[in-house]
Amino acid sequence: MAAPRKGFDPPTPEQSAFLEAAIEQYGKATYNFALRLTHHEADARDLTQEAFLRVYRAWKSFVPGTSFLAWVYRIVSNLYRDELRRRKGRYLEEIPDDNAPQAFGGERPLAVEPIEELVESQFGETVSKALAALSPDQRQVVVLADIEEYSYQEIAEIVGCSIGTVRSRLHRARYQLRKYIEHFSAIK
Amino acid sequence: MNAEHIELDKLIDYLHHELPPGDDAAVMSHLATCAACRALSEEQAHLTEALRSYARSTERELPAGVVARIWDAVETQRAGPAWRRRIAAWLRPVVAIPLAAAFALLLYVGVVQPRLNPTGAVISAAYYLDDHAALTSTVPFSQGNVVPASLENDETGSDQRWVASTGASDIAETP
Repeated sequence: MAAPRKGFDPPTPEQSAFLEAAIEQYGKATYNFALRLTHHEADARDLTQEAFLRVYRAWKSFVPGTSFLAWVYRIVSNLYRDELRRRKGRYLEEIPDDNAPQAFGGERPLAVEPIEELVESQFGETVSKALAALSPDQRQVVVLADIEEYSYQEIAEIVGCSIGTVRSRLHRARYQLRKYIEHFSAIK
Repeated sequence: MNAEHIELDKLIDYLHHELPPGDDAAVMSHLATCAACRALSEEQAHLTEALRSYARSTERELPAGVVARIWDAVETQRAGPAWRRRIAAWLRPVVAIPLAAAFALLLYVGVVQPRLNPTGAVISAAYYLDDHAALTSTVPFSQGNVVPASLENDETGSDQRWVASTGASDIAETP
């Protein structure tokens, strides 16, 4: 899918029109996606800017009829991963590629249901903290699966990993989320 | 799947519509009869709803500054034509350092070295005089002094002494 960079080609009016339409239609979604990944305003702005510059340079590599948003999200994901590697962040945490059942697989519902309370009382701050506490790649999968509602296959294409990895990351991430929500709710 | 309850992983896949049709139907049937698994399923659904609710409540507009920065960057890219990038490519260390070394060598050989040794290339005037005398001599292979006497002692200014000194008197006497 990725094509060689066309940065040295002279710009055309069609290229500018393509970028303008892309920002108009998908700028907000891209920015919010970046914001949820990074949890940082300035980083989200930088990611969004760089993603649309890449869209501008590589506009010919977009295949009409495919999901533009998935393409942009893939660009954002790659940029995010590169940036995390550059900063030597927690991103390098290893997650097994297989989809073996996790140790928490058989756990029963919580005695008290903090999540249900959360929905009713809009404890957005607690959810935000819980999301921020996840590892970057777990958070990425949760955002794509549960907020953006992509299928495992689509997430695998966006993130650049196998479906099994998506599945295991999502299982583990949701287990962690539940724990973090309990924890942050108890602190409140 | 556990004989009594659904594993959490399977339930998550079920809620994301990622199970094969047979498993999907089996989980659905089980949830209809198992209160514990239904409670677990509802809790997971609430987690998803909490995430979506959070996302909706924190959704923001794309800042105008970001759009401006994108277009600024595009304009900068436009302003930088290919030839400028090529020049920049020549200035890369891997190319620039050998070029600079070659230039410095040429500069040393062409300018610095001649100044340090200014007489190295000077040719004596006597060489030209000898050469001239040899070329103009009527008897080029004679053994005498080839330097014109007139140049050794220019008081007379006569060619006759030159002829005598070169031993060419016989030629002069020939009719």
